[in-house]
Amino acid sequence: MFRKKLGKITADVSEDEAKLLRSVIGQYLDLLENDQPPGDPVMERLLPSASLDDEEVDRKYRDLALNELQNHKRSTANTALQCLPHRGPWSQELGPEETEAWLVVLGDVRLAIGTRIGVTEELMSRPVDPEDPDEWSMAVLHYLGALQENLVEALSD
Amino acid sequence: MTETAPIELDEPGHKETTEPDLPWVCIVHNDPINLMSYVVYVFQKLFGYSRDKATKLMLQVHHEGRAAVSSGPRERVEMDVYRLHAHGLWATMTKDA
Repeated sequence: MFRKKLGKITADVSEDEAKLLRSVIGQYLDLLENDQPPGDPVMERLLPSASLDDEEVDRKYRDLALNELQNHKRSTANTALQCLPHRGPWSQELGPEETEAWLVVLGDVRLAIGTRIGVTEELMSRPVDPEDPDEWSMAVLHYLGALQENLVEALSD
Repeated sequence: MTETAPIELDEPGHKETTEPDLPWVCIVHNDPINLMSYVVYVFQKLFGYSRDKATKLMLQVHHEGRAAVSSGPRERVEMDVYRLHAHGLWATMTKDA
């Protein structure tokens, strides 16, 4: 859970949840740090084309922005990951940079998982059985979404 | 960006979506994954839009599949696309026809 206490955002997350977060953010970081096959849908979603129909516009944008965007995403994921303890529950008052990193990384990890499993709006609105191993990714997607929603709400308090 | 945004902001001086003669437009596309509340938050934070305006734009993206969120000179729209990509939104740019 994220909360706003006396104007500061605090994280209060159980040991199991902290472990899950370490694992999914770690996997996301691995994805960013290693070359993926060309046309990989997850990478195309995380680093999208800047134009629907104009290759020249996209090429210019990529020349300008792609490296910086990749570095920015890596550094955001690292900032979030470094907040998490190696073991045990996670309780911490977050600074502005850490808060921003968590807000963004929760979304990016959801994009990575959701794109990998080809999620649709219909699938997202369907109830998920968290005990069903086939639905594990969907359950994680919903959990991360609830956490991100929670952080957006805490920021809006 | 390290600061969290205040929630109710005044409209900024530049009128992003209403200038008719600016050549480039930044478009945000719908996706099934990003949360509505997060998209509203990003629009407020990146463009300084009020919560009302950010919510209207988010709903337009959701229902119509896309919305123009800013316009201006190429370099500025490129920067808007970059900042939206950095926040995980699917954005493209196009020359205003």
